[in-house]
Amino acid sequence: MSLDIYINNQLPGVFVVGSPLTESSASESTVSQRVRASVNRLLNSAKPSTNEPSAIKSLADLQVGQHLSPVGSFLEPLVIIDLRALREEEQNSEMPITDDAFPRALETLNLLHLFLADTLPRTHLVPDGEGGIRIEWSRDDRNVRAVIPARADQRAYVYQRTGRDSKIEPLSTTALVEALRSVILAQ
Amino acid sequence: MADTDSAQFPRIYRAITNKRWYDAVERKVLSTAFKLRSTDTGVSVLKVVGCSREVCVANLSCVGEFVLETERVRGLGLNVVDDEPEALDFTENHAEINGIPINPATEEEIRRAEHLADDLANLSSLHFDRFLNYQ
Repeated sequence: MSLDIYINNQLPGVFVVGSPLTESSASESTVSQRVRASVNRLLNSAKPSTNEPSAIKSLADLQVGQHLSPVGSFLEPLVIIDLRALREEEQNSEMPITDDAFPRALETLNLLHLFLADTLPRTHLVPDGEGGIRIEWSRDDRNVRAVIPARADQRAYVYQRTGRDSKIEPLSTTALVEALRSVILAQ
Repeated sequence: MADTDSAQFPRIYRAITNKRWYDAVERKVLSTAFKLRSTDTGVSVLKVVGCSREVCVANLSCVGEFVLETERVRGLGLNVVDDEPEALDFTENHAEINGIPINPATEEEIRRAEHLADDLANLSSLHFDRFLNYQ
């Protein structure tokens, strides 16, 4: 079986049968290995019992059986998987994550992954108890947070702190990337 | 409201109502544990704990407690006060950390609220892990 893998060095993404892999910092070989491993896992899970003749001869056969749908999810950045898990966890709480907060957090984290990918320390996603999401990073006495409130008409902001100095700015990808670079990633 | 007696209660305890408030890998309390919601007047704390897996002193669906030293909280310029005995929701074992901006509106109030949430998180450590979420 053959599989077409398209790696575009000009764009921070790898595309496999239409599913984007946002792995800008990974080497091509690492990404290729991950893709191959993922597809092999997929094919193994889709194998028919040994008593039946195999109907799967190409990737197109898998698509017919709808087996391709998991590819996008297990190649998704871990932080996005965690965001979806957070929404699930909060679904039955008094204040579930709102339809304003979730897409904004999703967009923020996806863009952040494009720009900073694996350079960031652990990303903490925490519900604010009112339907919003707080995204936190820290290193020693330095902190950066993206605060995404429950409603779109509430103030979303980036908070950054180094030692005793702190400041806030309206939330934007530019402001967040700049804060992370200057506060968390600075040597 | 009367100050909580730090000689009698040198430590106060914050119920962990969301398991994401603590990072077990980095052993770090996250600031969100001390961020006020719009209906809060202060950070709720307990003066005495003794919870078990089966029993929660705070009567909450909490997953554990953080512990802070009462006087170190005051060192941040905050108050630790007992419940008003006349209040309808008076609880002998309950206290509140006051002085954090409530519903911060200005940039300075928001910055101060975040700053204090950081400071309180830094003073805290995990005291009780009710369901062993952080092992």
